[in-house]
Amino acid sequence: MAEITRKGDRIEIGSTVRIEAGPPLRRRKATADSLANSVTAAHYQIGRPDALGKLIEEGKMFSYLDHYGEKVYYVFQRRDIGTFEEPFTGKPDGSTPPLNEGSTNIRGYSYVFEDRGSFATEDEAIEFGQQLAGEE
Amino acid sequence: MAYLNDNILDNGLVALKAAADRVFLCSQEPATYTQATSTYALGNKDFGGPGTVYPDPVVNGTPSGRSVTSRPVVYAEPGSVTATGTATHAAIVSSAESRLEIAKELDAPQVVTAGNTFTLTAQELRLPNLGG
Repeated sequence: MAEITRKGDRIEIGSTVRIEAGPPLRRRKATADSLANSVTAAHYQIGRPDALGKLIEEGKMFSYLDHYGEKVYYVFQRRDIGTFEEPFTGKPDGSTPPLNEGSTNIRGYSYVFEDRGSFATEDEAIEFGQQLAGEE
Repeated sequence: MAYLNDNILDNGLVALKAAADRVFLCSQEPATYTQATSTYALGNKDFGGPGTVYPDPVVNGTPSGRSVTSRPVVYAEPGSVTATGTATHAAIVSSAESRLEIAKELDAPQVVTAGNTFTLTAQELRLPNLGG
């Protein structure tokens, strides 16, 4: 079992899996009723972007974050997407680097935390997160 | 209820002002900090520490309430585009708290290319008083 740590609202499982609570992503047909501010958040309106950035059109399906519903627990898994290398141009404070550091390049990994699913309870999310962490 | 003191609104805005430090461009509306800063992130601007995104004081909003306005991301100090895609939303986060503070759709979607830079106009956040 990978170690579980909590950082504020975030749960980390090992170094590659994160869990965070947030509003669920849902879909429904765009109508006067479904776009009422008491049903979906005020910024979802005809002609405005939905949660996926697509314009909301009357009578067509749109995606939204359900801020009025129960939060769900999103599970994310880290995926490395390669290495990067950048010239070292100076220290973060802007001072000139010593001569022996001037030609040193910065090397590192870049990665992204991909959405692997959402769960109704924290326990379910942790169980799934442990499975993901165990596969690595 | 017919009255709401400005202090009530200000304390929410002051908490935001004190903590926010980074702006992200996103390919869709983020629901969490990780989505804003990694999963859907296309670019970011780090203003350099807590309290740097909203340097100006809380002021009266129009037509009511109180508001704060974020620093613009300007050409002289642009943000970095870190992935190629279509930016549809912007997010403001507090990285020390790992907290998504604000997510907002852009006025218009913008195609961005990794390695380039971006700018963003100042964004006002207003908490309306009773009656709007």
